[in-house]
Amino acid sequence: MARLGICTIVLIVVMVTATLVFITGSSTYGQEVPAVKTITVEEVKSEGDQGAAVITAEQVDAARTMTPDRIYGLLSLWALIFLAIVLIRLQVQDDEKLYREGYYSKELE
Amino acid sequence: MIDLVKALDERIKLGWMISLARRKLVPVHRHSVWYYMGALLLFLFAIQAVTGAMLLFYYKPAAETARQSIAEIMVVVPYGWLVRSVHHWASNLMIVLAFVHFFSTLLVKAYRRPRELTWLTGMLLLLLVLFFGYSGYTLPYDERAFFAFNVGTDMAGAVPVAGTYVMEFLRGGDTVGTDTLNRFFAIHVGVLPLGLLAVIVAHVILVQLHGMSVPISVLKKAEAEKREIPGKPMFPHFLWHDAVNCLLLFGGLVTLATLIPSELGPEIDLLKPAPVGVKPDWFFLWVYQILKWMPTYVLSIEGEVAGIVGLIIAALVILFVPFFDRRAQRDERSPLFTALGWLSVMAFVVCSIIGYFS
Repeated sequence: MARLGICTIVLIVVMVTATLVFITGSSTYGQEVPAVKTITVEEVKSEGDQGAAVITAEQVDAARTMTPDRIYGLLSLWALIFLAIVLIRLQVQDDEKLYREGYYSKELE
Repeated sequence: MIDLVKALDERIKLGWMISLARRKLVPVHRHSVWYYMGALLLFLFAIQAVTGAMLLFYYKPAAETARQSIAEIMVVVPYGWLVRSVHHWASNLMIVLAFVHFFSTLLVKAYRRPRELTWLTGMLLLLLVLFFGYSGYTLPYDERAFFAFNVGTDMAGAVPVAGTYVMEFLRGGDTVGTDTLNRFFAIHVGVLPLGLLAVIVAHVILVQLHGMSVPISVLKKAEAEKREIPGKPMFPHFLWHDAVNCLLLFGGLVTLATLIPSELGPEIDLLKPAPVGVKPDWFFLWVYQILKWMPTYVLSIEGEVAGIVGLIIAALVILFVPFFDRRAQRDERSPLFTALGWLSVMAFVVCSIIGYFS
């Protein structure tokens, strides 16, 4: 059970950290663009069909591109998942032994 | 661990629950794999709730800001592309698993007495999951979302009697605009999660109350061989297997999100004509294809209206199948309903594929 406890704590810490990084990320969108923006004719012309969008379609596409960091992150996640599965497998073996010995049929004292 | 359990039992009377879980057996047979679907769906719902709440920190639900705020999530917010993509893929997988769960329950006839209410709540969950998918699809308020708004609300408008009212209610007026987006946002983050949570609670309680249903073929075989169907304890054995499945699903989800991050369509251009061959999202392709095949008029009724009425009737037949399938209620084989079940699976798959490639 201790093995699983450690693994669960590691998984929770990773997820909570990722969540905190996400929700505390500063929103530069609001800072860069004032609430009321005067759009010049030149700006409209240069933006073309994109309108006065601050983040362009190219930037969004760039954010979707695969990078080495993402591959490493993915590999690390899978390593963690396989570790957790191995530990669960060991735990299941322990539990099945306890089950055969009749532990799980006992009432909670 | 035992001390912790004892301490919790002393304070919140946990003992009866553990005792029940330890005594609860999950039948083990060749169809046992379908028992895992419910837990996976529950896990995906939890992922949707967490990632959805995270996206709410940045999403701005107004016609002028919605698409830009999604772009901001993708580009500026740390791991924003990942959170949005996980949310997107989890919703798709949730719909896939909901359909698998629905069809497997239909084919193994798990709706038999006394599980009629479990079936009805399950059907309601499938409907809610589909609306979840559709309403989420529209929130980026890009070009795809705009046409999805129009096509979807038009379809609602074709429903006889209440159609026009439903269409205006969904749109918040005559045309698609900010009011429509606000309504779909409220439905997506307020109404549907509350509804889904309430029905999930009812569904899970009913499943725990009646236990897992055993297919008629397995029951008959065990009867013929005069033996009992073996069972595996729910706690901890079955839960550990659920945990492994959920971990693998999570890994698959993050892999999909990383390899194929969700897209963001172009901005809405009201002056641009609707592109040729606008299609709904994949989970409504079967409806789209069936309606496309309908002639202009069926017995002087407009084809689209006739198609929608036909689909509603088919849905009602499936909804009330536990009350029609009398033989299954007596634990007897019912080949007619098995054939209807397979026909519905084939209709869904074939129409979706044709709809995709047409």
